[in-house]
Amino acid sequence: MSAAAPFFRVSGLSKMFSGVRAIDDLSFDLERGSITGLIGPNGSGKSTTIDCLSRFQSVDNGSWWLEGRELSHLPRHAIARAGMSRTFQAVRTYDSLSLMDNLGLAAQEHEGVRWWDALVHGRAARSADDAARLRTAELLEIVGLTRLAESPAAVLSYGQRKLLSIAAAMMAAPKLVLLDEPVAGVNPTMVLRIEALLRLFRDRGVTLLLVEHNMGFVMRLCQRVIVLETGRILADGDPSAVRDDPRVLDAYIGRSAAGRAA
Amino acid sequence: MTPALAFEGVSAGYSDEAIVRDLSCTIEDRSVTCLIGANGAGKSTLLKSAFGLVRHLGGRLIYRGEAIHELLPEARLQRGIALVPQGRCNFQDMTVRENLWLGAYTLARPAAEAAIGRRVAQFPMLGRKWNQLAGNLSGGEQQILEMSMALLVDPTLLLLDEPSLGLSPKTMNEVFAVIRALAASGVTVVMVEQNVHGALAISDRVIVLDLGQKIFEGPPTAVMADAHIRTAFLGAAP
Repeated sequence: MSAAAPFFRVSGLSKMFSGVRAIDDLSFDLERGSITGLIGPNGSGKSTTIDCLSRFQSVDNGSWWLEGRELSHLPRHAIARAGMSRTFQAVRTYDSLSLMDNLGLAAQEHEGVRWWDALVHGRAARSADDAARLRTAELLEIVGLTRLAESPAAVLSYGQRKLLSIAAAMMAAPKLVLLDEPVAGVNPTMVLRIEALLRLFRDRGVTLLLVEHNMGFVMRLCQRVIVLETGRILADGDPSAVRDDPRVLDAYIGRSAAGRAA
Repeated sequence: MTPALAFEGVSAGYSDEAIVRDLSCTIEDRSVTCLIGANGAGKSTLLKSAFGLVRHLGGRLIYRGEAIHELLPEARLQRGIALVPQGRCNFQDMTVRENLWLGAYTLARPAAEAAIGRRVAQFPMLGRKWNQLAGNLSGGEQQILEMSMALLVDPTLLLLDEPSLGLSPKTMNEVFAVIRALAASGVTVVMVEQNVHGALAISDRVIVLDLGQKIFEGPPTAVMADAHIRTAFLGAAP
């Protein structure tokens, strides 16, 4: 792709499960520094899109590029290293390890630091380790978990685990982060905290694509919303225009819930 | 209204350390009660304690006049108590059909067929995805499958841990309408919800937990009128 290529481009992404088309020839671009919501009915292909783009799921067809570099042929750790990371619907933490160590492991997964690096390239690995420690401390400060840095992740509440998972996704200083339901199961006060946190990362230059059903959160945070239905784009645009789109009301929000979503 | 379930000074947790501490409350028959509070407040632990999935550390649990706190979960299930846990607990490598038949395994075949038919009519998605593996369903669809499996045995007390988790607004409202209809048909419902505003709209009573203890109990209107609770737990501006 040329130097004028969009920040992130997905072209012709398709995925089938047992004969059912989960994603059907999906194409979209993302602008640098934007927050985009990916919403739609249950089973419309939102999480599958994230799984495919991050290579946690195989792909039947399609290509995608970050800053003009094609990622579609790369394995998942190389995609993370190229600047795109993700979070998961079900929070993944290592409960017996400290928060510092959880983030340290995330750094290894992203950076591809391997045990033989430590043996063969000791100094370089230690240098990477020092940088990861600094980054860990900085991120724990940003997400407000510094006082628990040495505590095992087991002590964290569900909302705090969500904060830790966001910090883990930020360990490799990504350019683009895909967030799969960042506030699902989180109490309303914590929702506001995560919202402020994501704005902060956006302001620091991270582009965000998030799957989420909490429409209040999506409406406040996103400047653009893409609606999927049966793996295809049903609507795409300004949040309020999308919210009021009769097709979106019928397929996703529901007429009775429309007022509440505002 | 008569009490269906009473917690009398109940303490419960996962080890010797109590997560829920000396908690007393009464759940009215045929009502919908919503447990709210910060993440980690003990809501799910309280729900699990009613089903016998956590360590009972003190107090008494009375269901329809019978002490049940020493009963195993299967004995509680036989008494009509069912729990839908948080998250995706279906058998991922089995189809929707197989999951539903598994949920109905305690029923005779005609009763099982009728019960499954009722749930498929209630949630058409189950019919559309009949032969798909549960693991290939979306998170929200798995949630609906899990709840449908619990409903197959026609429970009298349904314990729901975040039934709206991962559901689209439209499906969430359908699930909330089902919960309200269940209460109208005679089922007592106790649910943990973080989607507080939607949940309060269908609840008769709200119990607010903080650090394992009950700090407030009342109708939804009273909760919404309490400035501290609105700020601390409902995300309202201070």
